[in-house]
Amino acid sequence: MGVVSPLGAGVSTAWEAMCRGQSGISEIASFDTEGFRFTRGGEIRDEALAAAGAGNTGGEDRATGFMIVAAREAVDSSGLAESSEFLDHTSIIVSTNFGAIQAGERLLTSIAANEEARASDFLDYGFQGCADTIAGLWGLRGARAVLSLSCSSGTAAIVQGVELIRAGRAKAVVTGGYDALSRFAWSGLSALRTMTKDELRPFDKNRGGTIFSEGAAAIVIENMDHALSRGAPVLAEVLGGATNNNAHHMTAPSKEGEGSALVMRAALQDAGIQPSEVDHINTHGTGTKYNDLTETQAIKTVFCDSAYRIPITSVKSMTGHMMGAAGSIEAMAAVMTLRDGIIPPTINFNEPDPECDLDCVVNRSRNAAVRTVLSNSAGIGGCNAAVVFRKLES
Amino acid sequence: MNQDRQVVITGIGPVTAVGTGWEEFREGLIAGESGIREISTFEPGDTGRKLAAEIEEFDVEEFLETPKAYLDPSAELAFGAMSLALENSGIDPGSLPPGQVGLALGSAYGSIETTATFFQDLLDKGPRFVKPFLFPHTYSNTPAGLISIEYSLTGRHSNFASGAVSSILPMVEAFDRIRQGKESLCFVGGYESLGEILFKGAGQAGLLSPLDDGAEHCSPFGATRNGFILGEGAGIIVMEELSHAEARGAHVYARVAGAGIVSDGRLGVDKCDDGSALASAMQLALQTSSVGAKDVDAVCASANGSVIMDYNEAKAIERVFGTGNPDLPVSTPKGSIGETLGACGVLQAAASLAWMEAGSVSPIMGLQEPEEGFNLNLVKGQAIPAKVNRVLLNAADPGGCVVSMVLERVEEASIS
Repeated sequence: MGVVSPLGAGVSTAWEAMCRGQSGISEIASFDTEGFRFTRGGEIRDEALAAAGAGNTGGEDRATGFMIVAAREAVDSSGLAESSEFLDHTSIIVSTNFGAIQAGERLLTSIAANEEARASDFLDYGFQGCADTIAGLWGLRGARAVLSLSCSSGTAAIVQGVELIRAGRAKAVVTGGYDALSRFAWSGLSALRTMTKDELRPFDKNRGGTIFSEGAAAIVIENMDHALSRGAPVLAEVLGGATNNNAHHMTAPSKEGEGSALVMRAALQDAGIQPSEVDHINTHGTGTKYNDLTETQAIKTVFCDSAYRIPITSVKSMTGHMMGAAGSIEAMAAVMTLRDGIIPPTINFNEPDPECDLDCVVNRSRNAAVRTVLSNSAGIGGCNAAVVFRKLES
Repeated sequence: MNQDRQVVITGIGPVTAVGTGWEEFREGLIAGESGIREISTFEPGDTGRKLAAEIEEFDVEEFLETPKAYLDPSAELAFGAMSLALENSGIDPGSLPPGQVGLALGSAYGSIETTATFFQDLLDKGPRFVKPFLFPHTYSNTPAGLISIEYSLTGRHSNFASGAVSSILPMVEAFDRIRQGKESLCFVGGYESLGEILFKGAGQAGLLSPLDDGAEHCSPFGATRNGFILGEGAGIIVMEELSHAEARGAHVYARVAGAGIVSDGRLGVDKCDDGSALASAMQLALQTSSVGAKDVDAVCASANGSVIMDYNEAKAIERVFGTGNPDLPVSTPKGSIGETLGACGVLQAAASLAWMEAGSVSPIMGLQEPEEGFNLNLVKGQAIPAKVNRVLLNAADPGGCVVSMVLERVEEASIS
């Protein structure tokens, strides 16, 4: 796995910060926020990248650079590059909301001004350029795709990667999600009226909205036999996952979280397990009134009475809402929970909401022996995705 | 996994510069029509280029079940393709089982026109003067989301922003999933609309004809080829498990026999390598289809007039078919419909089905003299009659990912 987040770059740095309940939210510095209603977000600092030894990110687009750093860490730590099948049988599936948006802003600005656009900006802004760039780090010859499924993107990339492996089209897939803050995205996200000037407090009675942030996370998934035969450091088993659509409204969640309930159920079915086998849910938990309410309802629909005994958390309270990367970093947190037996907290929590009455791990991390975890995501356009991980029995 | 499940195509909704709807598209393509002409729907600017394959006389209102306050031009094409695919397949959308039908679409530059409109307000007036209602329409996955709402498609859902393989990847995914028994029915495809941003951006990126002192033209595999011509288009096909199709008495166009996805490992579009990635993808598609190279009746090439990509593809086809099937007809619809990027793969499939149904292979419009040294039976001038039972089709992205697929005609009588 690999991570570039407002909590720092590198899996161990970000995970330790999560377990401490650290916030990655601050005043935005990467672009001029003059005239914007909201000015706080979760940003990647150059120092954080430098501290992680990220070095040259190799491109001229911020979002692509994040994905490069995360993918490199993930592949390095997987040891996959030493496999003789690495080049021919490794695929790339990364996902994003806004893609190479810095390149996109430059392209649109120059065309609007009737100036010559840079060739690289046009090619990068065709989202697929990121998959080519990542594959190009090693010269990978497997399938390549960039998905764009709004804020369910990161989780959907894992689900799609599982699909490729099951179909025998890849031995390993570098999955990931990435997005960068930009004036374009920020103006639109501000206009959606989902953001808050307060702290991001998922499942709290006084939650006022989300706070968007940037970064990338990558997870290498691999055919089990292939991984075991090469002695790979297996962190968890991906039991299965699912994607679907609410078919209800472009920006509002479906009534009582129906779509979200269906995708969790479909993920459990794909994983071949019963709801009762789930020990922990890493939620989408954006901190908006409606997401947290409908997600709570959806969990109750799927898990019935046992919903109350399943600890849930939202790491977005610390990372901010990393958009296309959200599902990827949350999957990373879910896997680390399996490994370390620690559920990271939902911070900024003050007052319980009687309508969000599940067992949310608030403010301080909790030790818990978790064997099976579900990570849930949703996004604009009504898309949902969920994935199920299980601790590998030794 | 039940690998015995057969995957068939039972509906097709093409929206292209040579025709909207199956019959119009098939007839236009086989008749050798070309949709490449002077741009009329936007100002091409002073780039020295003026040609594209635009879709004229397209009215999205004909294809909407419910009125829409706003649609990006690309979403309009997607809605057209979906409505036509449903009609063509004979499926009543009201009869679809909730949560069990897949939808996966793709587009290279997606909602770029709305993105530009939204961004213009930010540039001109500032962040508080952007139009909030436009913002959701800048997302790549919005057309797929809107189609889900329109037809209550709550099942498997995906959206690829994967350049020129954006619509073929969903087809491969649906093929795999239907074979594995996860779905019995999927709507898959892609779309690309053409406007000022895409036209100017692609031109300045050094992709479009003319890249030399020659004329602006599209000449796939041609001696004078000097870049491609953009086209707009959309296509959605209905992929279905065979017994599911039989149970509802569906017309079966073809069986998806196999597919291969491979990438060129090197960075950059200016690479000439005798097409080893494409050759591998084609071999993989043939192997997984259990179809021998000699049993293929035609190749639907991805060639679009690009200097290097066409060369690579020509060499790859020679390598795969050269000894076993040297007279194999090779053609591409791109001389007629332009390079449609996100719609390219699904429209390659549509062209292949048109050849099967018409019993002839359509000509490569714009091709006068093939490049000397291409040892291929290129179809030019006019369609050639041929019994087309098996087509190998390619879709290649300039960034490196290439996909091949084998489609096999299913005789109605032979389905048992």
